[in-house]
Amino acid sequence: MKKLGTFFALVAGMAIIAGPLFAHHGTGISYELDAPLLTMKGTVTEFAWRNPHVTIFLDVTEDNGDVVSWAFEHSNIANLARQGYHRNTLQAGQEVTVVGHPSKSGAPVGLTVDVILADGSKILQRRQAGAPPRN
Amino acid sequence: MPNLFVGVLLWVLFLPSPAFSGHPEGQEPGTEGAASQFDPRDFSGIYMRRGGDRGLSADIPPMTPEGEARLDDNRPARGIPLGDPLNGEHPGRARAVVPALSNDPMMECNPQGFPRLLLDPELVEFAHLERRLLQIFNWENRMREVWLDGREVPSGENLDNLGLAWYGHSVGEWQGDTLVVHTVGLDDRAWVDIFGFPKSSEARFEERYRRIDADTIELQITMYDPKYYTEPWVSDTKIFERQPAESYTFFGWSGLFSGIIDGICAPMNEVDDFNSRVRDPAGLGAQ
Repeated sequence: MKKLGTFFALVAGMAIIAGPLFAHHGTGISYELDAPLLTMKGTVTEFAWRNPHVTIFLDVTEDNGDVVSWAFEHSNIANLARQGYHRNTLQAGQEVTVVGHPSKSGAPVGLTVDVILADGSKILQRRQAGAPPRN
Repeated sequence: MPNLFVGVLLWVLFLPSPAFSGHPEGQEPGTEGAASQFDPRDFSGIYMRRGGDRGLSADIPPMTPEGEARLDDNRPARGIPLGDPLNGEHPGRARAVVPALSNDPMMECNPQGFPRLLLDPELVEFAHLERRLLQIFNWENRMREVWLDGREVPSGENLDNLGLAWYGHSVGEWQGDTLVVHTVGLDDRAWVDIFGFPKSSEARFEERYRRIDADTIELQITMYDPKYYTEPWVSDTKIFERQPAESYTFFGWSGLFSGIIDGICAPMNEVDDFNSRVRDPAGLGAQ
Protein backbone atom coordinates (compact mmCIF):
# COMPACT_ATOMS: atom_id res chain seq x y z
CA MET A 1 0.00 0.00 0.00
CA LYS A 2 2.88 2.33 0.80
CA LYS A 3 4.37 1.63 -2.64
CA LEU A 4 1.01 2.37 -4.22
CA GLY A 5 0.86 5.67 -2.33
CA THR A 6 4.35 6.54 -3.45
CA PHE A 7 3.40 5.70 -7.03
CA PHE A 8 0.41 8.02 -6.93
CA ALA A 9 2.52 10.71 -5.30
CA LEU A 10 5.02 10.47 -8.15
CA VAL A 11 2.26 10.53 -10.77
CA ALA A 12 0.76 13.60 -9.11
CA GLY A 13 4.19 15.16 -9.00
CA MET A 14 4.74 14.53 -12.69
CA ALA A 15 1.37 16.06 -13.48
CA ILE A 16 2.25 19.10 -11.45
CA ILE A 17 5.67 19.57 -12.99
CA ALA A 18 4.37 19.49 -16.56
CA GLY A 19 3.04 23.02 -16.25
CA PRO A 20 5.45 25.04 -14.19
CA LEU A 21 8.72 24.01 -15.82
CA PHE A 22 10.92 27.03 -16.00
CA ALA A 23 8.23 29.09 -14.43
CA HIS A 24 10.61 31.68 -13.14
CA HIS A 25 13.83 32.14 -14.97
CA GLY A 26 12.82 31.42 -18.53
CA THR A 27 16.12 29.80 -19.34
CA GLY A 28 14.45 27.53 -21.92
CA ILE A 29 15.06 30.21 -24.52
CA SER A 30 18.80 29.56 -24.21
CA TYR A 31 18.57 25.96 -25.43
CA GLU A 32 18.10 24.24 -28.79
CA LEU A 33 14.89 22.40 -28.10
CA ASP A 34 14.55 21.10 -31.66
CA ALA A 35 18.14 19.89 -32.06
CA PRO A 36 19.27 16.29 -31.42
CA LEU A 37 19.70 15.57 -27.75
CA LEU A 38 23.08 15.42 -26.07
CA THR A 39 24.12 12.25 -24.28
CA MET A 40 26.99 12.81 -21.86
CA LYS A 41 28.50 10.09 -19.68
CA GLY A 42 30.65 11.31 -16.86
CA THR A 43 31.29 11.78 -13.18
CA VAL A 44 29.12 14.02 -11.04
CA THR A 45 31.25 16.73 -9.45
CA GLU A 46 28.38 18.58 -7.80
CA PHE A 47 24.62 18.18 -7.48
CA ALA A 48 23.65 21.77 -6.76
CA TRP A 49 20.31 21.47 -4.96
CA ARG A 50 19.28 25.09 -4.94
CA ASN A 51 17.02 27.68 -6.48
CA PRO A 52 16.44 29.10 -8.99
CA HIS A 53 17.42 25.87 -10.74
CA VAL A 54 18.90 22.63 -9.53
CA THR A 55 22.01 21.87 -11.59
CA ILE A 56 24.06 18.74 -12.25
CA PHE A 57 27.76 19.42 -12.79
CA LEU A 58 29.50 16.64 -14.65
CA ASP A 59 33.08 15.96 -15.72
CA VAL A 60 33.15 14.25 -19.10
CA THR A 61 36.34 12.68 -20.48
CA GLU A 62 36.57 13.13 -24.23
CA ASP A 63 38.14 10.64 -26.64
CA ASN A 64 41.45 12.53 -26.60
CA GLY A 65 41.60 12.37 -22.82
CA ASP A 66 40.60 15.95 -22.17
CA VAL A 67 38.11 16.47 -19.35
CA VAL A 68 35.30 18.93 -20.03
CA SER A 69 33.13 20.21 -17.21
CA TRP A 70 29.48 20.26 -18.18
CA ALA A 71 26.51 21.82 -16.41
CA PHE A 72 22.98 20.46 -16.85
CA GLU A 73 20.17 22.65 -15.69
CA HIS A 74 16.94 21.30 -14.22
CA SER A 75 13.83 22.84 -12.66
CA ASN A 76 13.54 24.32 -9.18
CA ILE A 77 13.68 22.54 -5.82
CA ALA A 78 9.93 22.53 -5.25
CA ASN A 79 9.18 20.83 -8.55
CA LEU A 80 11.79 18.14 -8.02
CA ALA A 81 10.83 17.58 -4.39
CA ARG A 82 7.24 16.96 -5.41
CA GLN A 83 8.50 14.22 -7.73
CA GLY A 84 10.26 12.57 -4.82
CA TYR A 85 13.82 13.79 -5.38
CA HIS A 86 16.05 15.43 -2.79
CA ARG A 87 19.48 16.86 -2.15
CA ASN A 88 21.07 13.40 -1.96
CA THR A 89 19.53 11.98 -5.14
CA LEU A 90 22.92 12.33 -6.82
CA GLN A 91 26.31 12.30 -5.12
CA ALA A 92 29.66 13.70 -6.18
CA GLY A 93 31.76 10.91 -7.67
CA GLN A 94 28.77 9.03 -9.06
CA GLU A 95 28.98 7.81 -12.67
CA VAL A 96 25.89 8.81 -14.65
CA THR A 97 24.75 9.56 -18.17
CA VAL A 98 22.86 12.81 -18.66
CA VAL A 99 20.62 13.36 -21.67
CA GLY A 100 19.70 16.93 -22.45
CA HIS A 101 19.07 19.74 -24.88
CA PRO A 102 22.24 21.57 -26.03
CA SER A 103 22.73 25.26 -25.38
CA LYS A 104 22.28 27.67 -28.26
CA SER A 105 25.68 29.18 -27.56
CA GLY A 106 27.56 25.91 -27.91
CA ALA A 107 28.94 26.21 -24.39
CA PRO A 108 29.13 22.94 -22.39
CA VAL A 109 25.77 23.57 -20.78
CA GLY A 110 22.57 21.59 -21.29
CA LEU A 111 18.98 21.40 -20.23
CA THR A 112 18.33 18.06 -18.53
CA VAL A 113 15.89 15.61 -20.10
CA ASP A 114 16.78 12.65 -17.93
CA VAL A 115 19.61 11.03 -16.00
CA ILE A 116 20.56 7.39 -16.51
CA LEU A 117 22.17 5.59 -13.59
CA ALA A 118 24.78 2.84 -13.86
CA ASP A 119 22.05 0.17 -13.56
CA GLY A 120 20.18 1.66 -16.50
CA SER A 121 17.36 3.22 -14.50
CA LYS A 122 16.24 6.72 -15.43
CA ILE A 123 15.68 9.44 -12.88
CA LEU A 124 15.25 13.21 -12.75
CA GLN A 125 13.26 13.10 -15.96
CA ARG A 126 11.77 16.24 -17.32
CA ARG A 127 10.50 17.49 -20.65
CA GLN A 128 10.43 21.08 -21.76
CA ALA A 129 6.94 22.10 -22.77
CA GLY A 130 6.78 22.16 -26.55
CA ALA A 131 9.95 20.17 -27.00
CA PRO A 132 9.90 17.14 -29.27
CA PRO A 133 9.74 13.72 -27.60
CA ARG A 134 12.96 11.81 -27.22
CA ASN A 135 14.05 9.67 -30.13
CA MET B 1 -23.00 -2.06 13.39
CA PRO B 2 -23.48 0.50 16.23
CA ASN B 3 -20.33 2.22 14.98
CA LEU B 4 -21.86 2.50 11.54
CA PHE B 5 -25.01 4.04 13.03
CA VAL B 6 -23.00 6.58 15.01
CA GLY B 7 -20.96 7.39 11.93
CA VAL B 8 -24.04 8.03 9.81
CA LEU B 9 -25.59 10.15 12.58
CA LEU B 10 -22.46 12.30 12.88
CA TRP B 11 -22.31 12.70 9.11
CA VAL B 12 -25.92 13.91 9.00
CA LEU B 13 -25.39 16.28 11.93
CA PHE B 14 -22.22 17.91 10.69
CA LEU B 15 -22.61 17.92 6.92
CA PRO B 16 -24.35 21.33 6.71
CA SER B 17 -21.77 23.02 8.93
CA PRO B 18 -19.37 25.29 7.07
CA ALA B 19 -16.62 24.10 9.35
CA PHE B 20 -16.95 20.66 7.82
CA SER B 21 -17.65 21.66 4.26
CA GLY B 22 -14.06 21.99 3.07
CA HIS B 23 -11.63 19.14 2.73
CA PRO B 24 -9.88 18.42 6.01
CA GLU B 25 -6.15 18.38 5.52
CA GLY B 26 -5.13 15.05 4.06
CA GLN B 27 -8.54 14.20 2.66
CA GLU B 28 -8.62 13.69 -1.05
CA PRO B 29 -10.94 16.05 -2.92
CA GLY B 30 -13.80 14.47 -4.76
CA THR B 31 -14.35 11.67 -2.27
CA GLU B 32 -17.64 13.17 -1.12
CA GLY B 33 -19.45 12.29 -4.33
CA ALA B 34 -20.86 14.32 -7.16
CA ALA B 35 -23.29 16.20 -4.93
CA SER B 36 -20.58 17.18 -2.47
CA GLN B 37 -21.32 20.11 -0.23
CA PHE B 38 -18.99 23.05 0.02
CA ASP B 39 -19.02 26.47 1.61
CA PRO B 40 -18.57 29.01 -1.21
CA ARG B 41 -16.99 31.40 1.28
CA ASP B 42 -14.36 28.94 2.47
CA PHE B 43 -11.30 28.90 0.21
CA SER B 44 -9.11 26.93 2.61
CA GLY B 45 -6.73 24.59 0.87
CA ILE B 46 -3.73 24.31 -1.41
CA TYR B 47 -4.28 25.15 -5.06
CA MET B 48 -2.45 25.23 -8.37
CA ARG B 49 -3.41 27.57 -11.16
CA ARG B 50 -4.33 25.62 -14.29
CA GLY B 51 -4.57 26.57 -17.95
CA GLY B 52 -3.61 29.67 -19.84
CA ASP B 53 -0.20 31.25 -19.77
CA ARG B 54 1.48 33.48 -17.23
CA GLY B 55 0.03 36.70 -18.59
CA LEU B 56 -2.88 38.74 -17.29
CA SER B 57 -4.50 38.15 -20.68
CA ALA B 58 -3.55 38.30 -24.35
CA ASP B 59 -6.12 41.03 -24.92
CA ILE B 60 -4.02 44.01 -23.93
CA PRO B 61 -5.57 47.48 -23.89
CA PRO B 62 -3.96 50.41 -25.72
CA MET B 63 -1.10 51.98 -23.81
CA THR B 64 -0.26 55.61 -23.18
CA PRO B 65 3.04 56.96 -24.56
CA GLU B 66 4.44 56.80 -21.02
CA GLY B 67 3.30 53.20 -20.69
CA GLU B 68 4.82 52.25 -24.04
CA ALA B 69 8.13 53.82 -23.07
CA ARG B 70 8.14 51.84 -19.86
CA LEU B 71 7.28 48.65 -21.77
CA ASP B 72 10.27 49.26 -24.05
CA ASP B 73 12.52 49.54 -21.00
CA ASN B 74 11.52 46.08 -19.80
CA ARG B 75 13.39 43.22 -21.48
CA PRO B 76 11.71 39.89 -20.67
CA ALA B 77 13.11 36.40 -21.15
CA ARG B 78 9.72 34.83 -21.71
CA GLY B 79 7.29 34.88 -24.59
CA ILE B 80 7.94 34.76 -28.32
CA PRO B 81 11.63 35.44 -29.02
CA LEU B 82 12.34 38.97 -30.20
CA GLY B 83 12.26 39.06 -34.00
CA ASP B 84 10.18 35.91 -34.45
CA PRO B 85 6.79 36.07 -36.23
CA LEU B 86 4.01 37.36 -34.00
CA ASN B 87 1.50 34.70 -35.05
CA GLY B 88 -1.32 36.97 -33.96
CA GLU B 89 0.17 37.81 -30.58
CA HIS B 90 0.44 41.33 -29.22
CA PRO B 91 3.94 42.69 -30.02
CA GLY B 92 4.50 43.20 -26.32
CA ARG B 93 4.42 39.44 -25.83
CA ALA B 94 7.05 38.82 -28.52
CA ARG B 95 10.13 40.46 -27.03
CA ALA B 96 11.96 37.60 -25.31
CA VAL B 97 15.75 37.71 -25.11
CA VAL B 98 18.17 35.26 -23.53
CA PRO B 99 18.09 35.55 -19.73
CA ALA B 100 21.60 36.98 -19.60
CA LEU B 101 20.35 40.02 -21.53
CA SER B 102 17.05 40.34 -19.70
CA ASN B 103 16.37 42.88 -16.97
CA ASP B 104 13.49 40.87 -15.52
CA PRO B 105 13.63 41.54 -11.76
CA MET B 106 13.03 37.84 -11.25
CA MET B 107 16.37 37.03 -12.90
CA GLU B 108 18.08 38.33 -9.80
CA CYS B 109 15.47 36.63 -7.62
CA ASN B 110 13.78 39.87 -6.66
CA PRO B 111 10.12 39.61 -5.64
CA GLN B 112 7.75 38.94 -8.50
CA GLY B 113 5.18 41.21 -6.88
CA PHE B 114 1.46 41.37 -7.44
CA PRO B 115 -0.22 40.20 -9.62
CA ARG B 116 2.66 38.35 -11.27
CA LEU B 117 3.18 35.82 -8.48
CA LEU B 118 -0.52 35.00 -8.51
CA LEU B 119 -0.26 34.20 -12.24
CA ASP B 120 2.48 31.62 -11.66
CA PRO B 121 1.42 28.00 -11.97
CA GLU B 122 2.86 27.16 -8.58
CA LEU B 123 1.25 26.02 -5.36
CA VAL B 124 -0.60 28.62 -3.31
CA GLU B 125 -2.40 28.02 -0.04
CA PHE B 126 -5.49 29.98 0.95
CA ALA B 127 -5.87 30.24 4.72
CA HIS B 128 -8.67 32.03 6.57
CA LEU B 129 -7.93 33.85 9.80
CA GLU B 130 -10.46 35.72 11.90
CA ARG B 131 -10.11 39.00 10.02
CA ARG B 132 -7.89 38.15 7.09
CA LEU B 133 -7.46 35.82 4.18
CA LEU B 134 -3.88 34.75 3.64
CA GLN B 135 -2.39 33.61 0.36
CA ILE B 136 0.80 31.69 0.99
CA PHE B 137 2.82 31.20 -2.17
CA ASN B 138 5.23 28.34 -2.72
CA TRP B 139 7.62 30.45 -4.77
CA GLU B 140 9.30 33.05 -2.56
CA ASN B 141 7.52 31.35 0.38
CA ARG B 142 5.54 34.58 0.28
CA MET B 143 2.55 35.57 2.36
CA ARG B 144 0.01 38.05 1.03
CA GLU B 145 -2.69 39.27 3.38
CA VAL B 146 -6.16 40.47 2.45
CA TRP B 147 -8.07 42.25 5.21
CA LEU B 148 -11.69 41.16 5.46
CA ASP B 149 -12.91 43.08 8.50
CA GLY B 150 -14.48 46.04 6.76
CA ARG B 151 -11.55 48.42 6.86
CA GLU B 152 -11.13 50.68 3.88
CA VAL B 153 -8.52 50.56 1.16
CA PRO B 154 -5.75 52.94 2.25
CA SER B 155 -5.74 56.27 0.49
CA GLY B 156 -4.44 59.81 0.80
CA GLU B 157 -2.04 60.43 3.66
CA ASN B 158 -2.39 56.88 4.98
CA LEU B 159 -1.36 55.39 1.65
CA ASP B 160 1.43 57.92 1.32
CA ASN B 161 2.74 57.01 4.77
CA LEU B 162 2.48 53.30 4.06
CA GLY B 163 4.37 53.72 0.82
CA LEU B 164 4.64 51.23 -1.98
CA ALA B 165 4.96 47.51 -1.42
CA TRP B 166 5.80 44.60 -3.71
CA TYR B 167 2.41 43.05 -2.98
CA GLY B 168 0.56 46.29 -2.25
CA HIS B 169 -2.15 46.77 0.36
CA SER B 170 -5.28 44.69 -0.02
CA VAL B 171 -8.76 44.64 1.48
CA GLY B 172 -11.63 42.39 0.49
CA GLU B 173 -15.38 42.17 0.89
CA TRP B 174 -17.96 39.55 0.12
CA GLN B 175 -20.50 40.45 -2.52
CA GLY B 176 -22.80 37.46 -2.32
CA ASP B 177 -20.48 34.50 -2.71
CA THR B 178 -17.90 36.49 -4.66
CA LEU B 179 -14.88 37.75 -2.78
CA VAL B 180 -13.91 41.14 -4.19
CA VAL B 181 -10.38 42.28 -3.33
CA HIS B 182 -9.03 45.77 -3.92
CA THR B 183 -5.27 46.38 -4.00
CA VAL B 184 -3.36 49.66 -4.15
CA GLY B 185 0.13 50.91 -3.37
CA LEU B 186 2.06 48.54 -5.63
CA ASP B 187 5.77 48.92 -6.23
CA ASP B 188 6.15 49.76 -9.90
CA ARG B 189 9.50 47.96 -10.18
CA ALA B 190 7.62 44.67 -10.32
CA TRP B 191 6.13 43.72 -13.68
CA VAL B 192 2.50 42.81 -14.29
CA ASP B 193 3.53 39.49 -15.82
CA ILE B 194 6.44 37.52 -17.27
CA PHE B 195 6.09 39.36 -20.59
CA GLY B 196 7.29 42.57 -19.02
CA PHE B 197 4.15 44.66 -19.10
CA PRO B 198 4.53 47.54 -16.67
CA LYS B 199 2.28 48.95 -14.02
CA SER B 200 2.60 52.37 -12.45
CA SER B 201 2.60 53.11 -8.75
CA GLU B 202 -0.89 54.54 -9.25
CA ALA B 203 -2.31 51.24 -10.51
CA ARG B 204 -5.14 49.65 -8.59
CA PHE B 205 -6.48 46.15 -8.97
CA GLU B 206 -9.78 44.42 -8.41
CA GLU B 207 -9.85 40.65 -7.99
CA ARG B 208 -13.11 38.71 -8.04
CA TYR B 209 -12.84 35.20 -6.56
CA ARG B 210 -15.62 32.65 -6.73
CA ARG B 211 -15.53 29.09 -5.51
CA ILE B 212 -17.54 27.23 -8.12
CA ASP B 213 -17.24 23.73 -6.67
CA ALA B 214 -15.42 21.88 -3.94
CA ASP B 215 -12.14 21.86 -5.87
CA THR B 216 -12.17 24.96 -8.04
CA ILE B 217 -11.84 28.71 -7.56
CA GLU B 218 -12.35 31.09 -10.46
CA LEU B 219 -10.66 34.48 -10.51
CA GLN B 220 -10.93 37.52 -12.71
CA ILE B 221 -8.52 40.41 -12.28
CA THR B 222 -8.99 43.96 -13.54
CA MET B 223 -6.18 46.47 -13.55
CA TYR B 224 -6.95 50.19 -13.58
CA ASP B 225 -3.85 52.14 -14.49
CA PRO B 226 -4.70 55.22 -16.60
CA LYS B 227 -1.13 56.43 -16.35
CA TYR B 228 0.06 53.53 -18.54
CA TYR B 229 -3.10 52.10 -20.14
CA THR B 230 -5.98 54.00 -21.74
CA GLU B 231 -8.55 51.40 -20.65
CA PRO B 232 -8.88 48.92 -17.78
CA TRP B 233 -7.10 45.63 -18.45
CA VAL B 234 -9.44 42.72 -17.72
CA SER B 235 -7.88 39.30 -17.33
CA ASP B 236 -9.21 36.08 -18.73
CA THR B 237 -10.67 33.73 -16.14
CA LYS B 238 -7.98 32.17 -13.99
CA ILE B 239 -8.68 28.71 -12.61
CA PHE B 240 -7.24 27.52 -9.31
CA GLU B 241 -7.54 23.78 -8.82
CA ARG B 242 -7.42 22.25 -5.37
CA GLN B 243 -4.55 19.81 -5.10
CA PRO B 244 -4.95 16.20 -4.03
CA ALA B 245 -3.51 15.06 -0.76
CA GLU B 246 -0.88 12.99 -2.60
CA SER B 247 0.86 16.16 -3.68
CA TYR B 248 1.31 17.27 -0.08
CA THR B 249 4.65 15.52 0.21
CA PHE B 250 8.28 16.44 0.20
CA PHE B 251 10.39 13.87 -1.69
CA GLY B 252 7.61 11.39 -0.91
CA TRP B 253 7.72 12.06 2.83
CA SER B 254 4.72 13.72 4.43
CA GLY B 255 6.14 14.46 7.84
CA LEU B 256 6.42 18.12 8.85
CA PHE B 257 5.29 19.19 5.42
CA SER B 258 2.11 21.17 4.81
CA GLY B 259 2.48 21.41 1.06
CA ILE B 260 4.18 24.78 0.75
CA ILE B 261 7.92 24.46 0.46
CA ASP B 262 10.68 26.93 1.30
CA GLY B 263 10.83 28.08 -2.34
CA ILE B 264 13.18 30.95 -1.73
CA CYS B 265 15.70 31.96 -4.35
CA ALA B 266 18.65 32.90 -2.13
CA PRO B 267 21.31 33.65 -1.06
CA MET B 268 22.44 36.04 -3.73
CA ASN B 269 25.88 34.48 -4.14
CA GLU B 270 24.24 31.17 -5.08
CA VAL B 271 22.01 32.94 -7.59
CA ASP B 272 25.07 34.66 -9.05
CA ASP B 273 26.85 31.32 -9.19
CA PHE B 274 23.96 29.79 -11.16
CA ASN B 275 23.86 32.77 -13.49
CA SER B 276 27.59 32.77 -14.17
CA ARG B 277 28.08 29.00 -14.50
CA VAL B 278 24.85 27.97 -16.22
CA ARG B 279 22.45 30.70 -17.29
CA ASP B 280 24.83 33.09 -19.01
CA PRO B 281 27.04 30.51 -20.79
CA ALA B 282 23.91 28.79 -22.14
CA GLY B 283 22.65 32.00 -23.70
CA LEU B 284 25.84 33.84 -24.58
CA GLY B 285 28.63 31.27 -24.53
CA ALA B 286 31.75 31.19 -22.36
CA GLN B 287 32.77 34.73 -21.39
